[in-house]
Amino acid sequence: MADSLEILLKDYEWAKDDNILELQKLKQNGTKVVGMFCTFSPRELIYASNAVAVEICGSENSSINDAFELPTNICPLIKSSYGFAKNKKCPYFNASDLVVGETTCDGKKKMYEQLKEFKDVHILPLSFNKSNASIEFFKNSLKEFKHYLEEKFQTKIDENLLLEKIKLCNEERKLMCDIMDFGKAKPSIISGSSMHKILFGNSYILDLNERISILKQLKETLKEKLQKNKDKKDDNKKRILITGCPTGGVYQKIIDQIETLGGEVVAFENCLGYKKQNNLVETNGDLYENLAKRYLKIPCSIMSPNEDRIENLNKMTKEFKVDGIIDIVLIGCHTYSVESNLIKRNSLVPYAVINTDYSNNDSGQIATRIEAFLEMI
Amino acid sequence: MHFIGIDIGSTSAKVAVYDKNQEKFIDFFQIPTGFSGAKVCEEILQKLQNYENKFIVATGYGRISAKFANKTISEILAHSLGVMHFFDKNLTIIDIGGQDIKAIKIENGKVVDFSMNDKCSAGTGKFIDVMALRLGIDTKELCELALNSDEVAKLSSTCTVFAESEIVSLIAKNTPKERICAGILDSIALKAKSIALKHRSENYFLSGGLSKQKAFIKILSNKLESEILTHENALFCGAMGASLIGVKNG
Repeated sequence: MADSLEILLKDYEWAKDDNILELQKLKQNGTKVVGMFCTFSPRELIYASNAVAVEICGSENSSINDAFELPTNICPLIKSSYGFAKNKKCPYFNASDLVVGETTCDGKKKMYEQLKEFKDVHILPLSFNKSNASIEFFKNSLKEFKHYLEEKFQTKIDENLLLEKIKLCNEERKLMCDIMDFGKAKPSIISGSSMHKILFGNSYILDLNERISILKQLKETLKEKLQKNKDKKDDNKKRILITGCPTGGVYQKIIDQIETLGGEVVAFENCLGYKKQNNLVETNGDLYENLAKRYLKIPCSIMSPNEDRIENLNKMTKEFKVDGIIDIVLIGCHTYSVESNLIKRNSLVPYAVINTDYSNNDSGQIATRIEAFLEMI
Repeated sequence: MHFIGIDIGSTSAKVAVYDKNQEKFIDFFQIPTGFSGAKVCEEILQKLQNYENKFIVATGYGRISAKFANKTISEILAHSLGVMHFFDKNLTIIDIGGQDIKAIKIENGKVVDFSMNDKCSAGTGKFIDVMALRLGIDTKELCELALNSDEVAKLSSTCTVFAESEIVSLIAKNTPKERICAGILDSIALKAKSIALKHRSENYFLSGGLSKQKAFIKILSNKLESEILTHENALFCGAMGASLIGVKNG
């Protein structure tokens, strides 16, 4: 039982590297590839155009030096992404026939303008609240994107195919939430660093059906483990919830460090976690309107107001028996940075912000901060 | 039984020795950290060899070097325990270290929040060292001169490097040395104020290298519009807190 979990975790850990060859093969067979940067990217539409959707959100420090045209003090994620476009060292970016860029934050909006030099970019205008006008606006953006995909890939996106992909993506979301729900177990049955590998690696399994099948296996394995651990004594480790910016580029400094210092990460509210997987797309009625409604529910700090985030955090604090919340705010991220005040005020448990970038210069300071936070809660 | 706390900072290592039988601190000493954390640890062990039955707790930036320590804790916890030994009140500790500056808020005997400025040397001991060197004096003399100054030559740069350049031009303009010294302390006090106000409290306690300097305490007190608490052993509160954790737990 432990063995099969180990094997699955290894698969997720290596998914990004292992699937490069697979991606090349698909391309050779004529399959189109669309690169996505964000939770707001409408993957269902991409799949319905018979293309493969790949995540190309930059999570490595190595490409940042190539992004020297961009200002120093903007988000490392933006610099990393742009750097990979320039240096052509990301096989997923290279394989993309097109990338989609949502008008989320200011930094990204402006970076996408310059990305056009290296790749076809479709800008997807995104509204920033849940009003009827906003839903209408985003629905039209999605329709525009649909036409663009049909034109570019010489295909037709029919309603039935779209509905099929929506159902598949919904199924994936449900499974991901089920798997993350195992984090509620006390004592824990899976470490935060292992959960992170799953959340990060999942999107690199290119075939949606295969992804779902592996997730089902993982769910069963975790269920068995939970049963086995039923009578295990609680180790009283401090339970941490991670919120804020994407953690692909900083997880070793923070998540692994929390574990080294005796705490454990039991929940991810950020881009890798529930923020991405919560809420299904309604399958009855106008599919484009339903997609718009679902995606506009994402509780990202670029949304205003973003009260759902506070609600989600408080709900998760209770359900996961969280002792402390760590908000990871990447340097240069205005929205998450300003929002941190609201989060702090409304938090039910001790809360700390870690401001950082993708380099390792501050790992010592971060370790001290984490240690002091764990001592405090 | 002796509970010993070692606070290995970037500039100096501070040691506090607590005697369980006498139920009090019996010794304090400080040595420069220098280049090697390992070397300073050797020196410390040498000085502690006459104490029998030792339980050693290490804290501070260099605590990893203290391989002989029975336990390590963060400097946040260490400072809070040390200061609470002096004053059992709700307060915010302002610790001005060699290379960092911290504010730690204590409420009902517990740390409730803290901030650290560890990305920049403005407002730290490094700032005052660089300026004192440029003026050709030591820190103590700098503070004494500042105490006697009627006016403050305010510095516009908070950055250590740019402030040093500014000092050079002030000297060239024949600005009285005392006023420059006052300006230097004023600059540090401003940084201390801004980090302290993130954790407003009824009381403020100053620890670290400037805790004995009346001139600095006066300037800081004016800026925070509050009395500044301190203690003659404030420099050792990190080390004291570390040893007290040992006392508490065993």
